Amino acid sequence: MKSLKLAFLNIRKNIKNAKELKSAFIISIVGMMLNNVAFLFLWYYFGKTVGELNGWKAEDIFGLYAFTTVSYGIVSGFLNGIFSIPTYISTATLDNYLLTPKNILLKIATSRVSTSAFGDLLYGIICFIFFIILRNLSITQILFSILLMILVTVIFYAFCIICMSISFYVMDGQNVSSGFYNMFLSNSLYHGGAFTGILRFVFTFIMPSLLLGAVPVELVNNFTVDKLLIMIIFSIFWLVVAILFFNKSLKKYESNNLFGFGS
Amino acid sequence: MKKIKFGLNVIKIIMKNQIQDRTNLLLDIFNMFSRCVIIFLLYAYVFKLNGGLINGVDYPTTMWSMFIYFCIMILNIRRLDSLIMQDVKSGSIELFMNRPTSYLTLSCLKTIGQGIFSFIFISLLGTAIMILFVGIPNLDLKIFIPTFILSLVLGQILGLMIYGIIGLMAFFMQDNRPLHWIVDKFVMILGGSYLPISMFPPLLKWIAFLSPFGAVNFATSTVYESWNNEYLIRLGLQVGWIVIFGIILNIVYKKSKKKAMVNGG
Repeated sequence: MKSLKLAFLNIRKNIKNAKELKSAFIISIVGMMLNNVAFLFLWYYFGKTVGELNGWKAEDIFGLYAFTTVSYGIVSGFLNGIFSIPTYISTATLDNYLLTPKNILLKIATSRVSTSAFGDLLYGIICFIFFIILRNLSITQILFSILLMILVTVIFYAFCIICMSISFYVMDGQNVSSGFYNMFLSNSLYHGGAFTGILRFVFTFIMPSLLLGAVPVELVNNFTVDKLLIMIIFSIFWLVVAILFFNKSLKKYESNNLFGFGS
Repeated sequence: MKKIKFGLNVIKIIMKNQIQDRTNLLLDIFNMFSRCVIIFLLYAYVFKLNGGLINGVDYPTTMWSMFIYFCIMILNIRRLDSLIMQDVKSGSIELFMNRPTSYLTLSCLKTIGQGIFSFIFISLLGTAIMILFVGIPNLDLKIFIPTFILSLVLGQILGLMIYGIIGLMAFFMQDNRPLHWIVDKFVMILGGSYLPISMFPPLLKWIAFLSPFGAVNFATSTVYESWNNEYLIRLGLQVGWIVIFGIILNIVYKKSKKKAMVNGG
């Protein structure tokens, strides 16, 4: 509980810091939103041209981007420190976090915020509103979607931890970690109808890219309680695996002789 | 001649450095493979639904066009602006600006050097796989080979200029990343990344044809039949944009130099 309180304080402090550079803060939010429109435009236009594809309608693209960008916005926005794990390792900044008595992972995660990710979050919410209108979602479906967004955020956070923790094992882990992470994220942004057969299996169970957007959209469109339970089990599974993997990887860490005083 | 030799040497040194790090190459291959498999399967399904032709273009031609785009992405000249931004923010730009070689030239060479090995390796490997699994599109090789190489080189020069200008904006803006995102997405969409050019609506086709962002990836259009009638105009457009952006880059660079503060130490 104390660790959580500290985490919230950290986030608040970081947001205040970011807001000091007002123009950069606003430009990065607006810039990111415009950036995201490009992907939506591409796949929406694709959906309109091609028509229904493996049960996917053009309007579902709004749902896909709602789920993906909201979860990305929350994790990258408020818990951006996890993306710095490779840098912390290579610059020995991790020492500062290891020496504190609080939860290490939480302290690292809340060590930074990303202002541009707030643009993603805002964009995701707008997409979600469009998704509700275009798909004419019922109240139950809306509530179910919100619950799914929480679960998706947990999965996203968990898999990011796994990707970043890889850098404990390899030299110059920054490239490897970001390579895996980009693969995980970019596959979640494709049209959901593209994934069938073995591709669907790989990107659902091995690299859970589809759990970020495509699967939740399909769940909202065809809601059942057992599907919700499966999603809950998945999110718990990935979170437990991520924390265990991080703690195990942390034991591999060896501080170098770089002198530095981190935040 | 000396300058060309120097440039090639810089690229060679950075490329050798990249070759040592095999994990990067493996990741690039894996990324390219997963991207291509997903997109190619998707479009195979779409073309099947449409009877094998969309807007008069067949599946192999469309896939080759997208494959060329993904190969160009591996070269990754878009990282030039973040390289410049890092140098501006860290202050190391003052060290480079004091050297006899132009800072911009050096940054461009570094960017090319970082991506060229993966680009050549994956392009060759990918071409062999594409010939095996997708087939060869109907091409007039006498026109295709020289114009493809020329449009690829001109497009990358233009891209380096565009991203160079964005990078130098770090002197004038607190954060130039939003500018990068927006321009990058224009280049991505108009280059026919995930939505092939053959599927563009007429208005978007015209924008891709006339805008500098579309001109960066004209090489992706070389596989289409219409290229044989358009290549002179397209190459001319690329040269024209290079001249315009060259002038803009020169002006921005001069202004940036004035903004740079050399503190020594």
